[in-house]
Amino acid sequence: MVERFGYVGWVLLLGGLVGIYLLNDGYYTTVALLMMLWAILAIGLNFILGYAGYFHLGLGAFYGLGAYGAAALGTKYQMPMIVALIVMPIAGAILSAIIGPLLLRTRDLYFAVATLALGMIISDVTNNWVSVTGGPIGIGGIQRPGVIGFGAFSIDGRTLPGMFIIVSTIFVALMIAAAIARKSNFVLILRGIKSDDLMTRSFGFPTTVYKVAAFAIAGAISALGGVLYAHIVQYISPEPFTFFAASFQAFVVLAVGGLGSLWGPVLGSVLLTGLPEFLDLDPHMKLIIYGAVLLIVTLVLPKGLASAAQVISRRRKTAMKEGTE
Amino acid sequence: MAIDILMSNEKVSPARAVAAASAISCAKLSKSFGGLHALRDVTFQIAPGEILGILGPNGAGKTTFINVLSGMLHADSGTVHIYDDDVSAMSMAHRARYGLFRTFQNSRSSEELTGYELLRLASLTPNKTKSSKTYTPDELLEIFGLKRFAGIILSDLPYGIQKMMNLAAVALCRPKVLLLDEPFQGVAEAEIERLSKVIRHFASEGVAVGLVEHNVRSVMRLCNRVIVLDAGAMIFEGRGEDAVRDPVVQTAYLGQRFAGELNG
Repeated sequence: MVERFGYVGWVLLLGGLVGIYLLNDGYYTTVALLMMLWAILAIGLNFILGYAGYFHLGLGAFYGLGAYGAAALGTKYQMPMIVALIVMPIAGAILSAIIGPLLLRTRDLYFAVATLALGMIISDVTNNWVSVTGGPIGIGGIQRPGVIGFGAFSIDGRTLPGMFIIVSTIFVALMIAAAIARKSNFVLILRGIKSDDLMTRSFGFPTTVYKVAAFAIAGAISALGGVLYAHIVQYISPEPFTFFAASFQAFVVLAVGGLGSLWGPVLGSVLLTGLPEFLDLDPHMKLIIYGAVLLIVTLVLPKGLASAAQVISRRRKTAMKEGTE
Repeated sequence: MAIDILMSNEKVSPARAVAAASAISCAKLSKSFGGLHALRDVTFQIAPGEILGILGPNGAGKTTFINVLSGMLHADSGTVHIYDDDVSAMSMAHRARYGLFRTFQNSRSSEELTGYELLRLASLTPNKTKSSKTYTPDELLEIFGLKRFAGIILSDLPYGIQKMMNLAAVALCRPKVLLLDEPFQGVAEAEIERLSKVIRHFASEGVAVGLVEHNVRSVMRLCNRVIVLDAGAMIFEGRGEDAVRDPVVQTAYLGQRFAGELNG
């Protein structure tokens, strides 16, 4: 059941991306870009929260790091986007690897609070270190990449469709990497840690090392999301990287989509970012529906939307069993 | 029954069981929590292929003993060796690289992993020691007769099956020394027999087994030798039958007065 859904998932994902590109509508393209951004953050969060079971509520810090780093590289040093795409995820991973061992001494709520504080520190820095971050005014004029490729195969990165192709390519690559990672021994060990840290250690795995690695992957992917955000919007300010705007939102997207699942980040993002936009609801109505969806999913599908197929097939099996007995 | 098949393939070498070198040995191991001495100067060893019972009344320090041996807790003083390697300063994960593995008193039931995934996780162990036999998760499920439970989330399985799964997982780690913390606790009588067979099978492959257990009868049947702990100190070492008759042991278990009545 899950395998079959996986196959359908890839078709829908690629079909959807191609469809939106062909539609060539500025609004829909922007919404699709936003959905991919949220899915990217949720994919990152999935490593530390979905697999390893650690409530990382400071994702916004790394998202912000990526965005501000990209802005600085682009506007101050006139570096092309590709430099930020390589440098900032590495910076996110290094920062995580430095603070990870400290934060990961704590767990459960303590870890959540510690990472929450990390996010707040970054928010404070972006607001107040005016000479570097521009303070509340932010940084504008971030240049998108120019023409990439030759002739018929060239993409104009300055245009929205060009940007859409760049982000889509990175997103699909990230999804493939996430799909491979999900089957890997590394993720199995992370899930062992989520299930029972002590037992996993007794099998000989230095669990702290694995947790820091998961934390660093989350940091790197979030920073990648930040770089893309900076180049899509071309202007950054502290607001989108605050707790409620970034860290909490990423958590909700992943929790609604399904912790520890491959398609959860995509489903959560489509439902929570995409649908309210496409349905063109008024902002108050949007919030109400948003809350209702959150509540219903937590109650009906505690393992998220991605588990719907499993839940339905199990229900059907029990129904069949009851029917025959 | 599947275990019997395996046993028949097994070439048990009695020489191995009486090899001079001890698989695990500890000297003057002490651990206290605040003012409470959980372990006092415990010195002992287990030979390869031997099954040692670790007995003692409640609060005698049996679980602390296993926790200190496995590296989960660090001893205040004393040394632990696995064969010739001094592992005293090593963490639990590090000791596993030298072939020291353990199970836990409470079945580590998990809502995250299926039985098969647990075994796959265990088979990835970074244990460096060479063992005569290496199994795949599938082979072990077959041997333990757990195949039909493999795809089920661990916490959905009956308690006894969970314990079997945990033991199968440790088996995949290719242990040289295996410490079992109350493997029979909460397990049905029929499954105790099965678990005992599995433990004997480990020993027949040359694994040194240390067994903490409340179920004295199972210990008597399984163990070549027992030690008895009381208030963190070792008060007896020898054959199981002798332990039951030992007046010091009786006093520790029953208190002075009842022990006196038993003998008098």
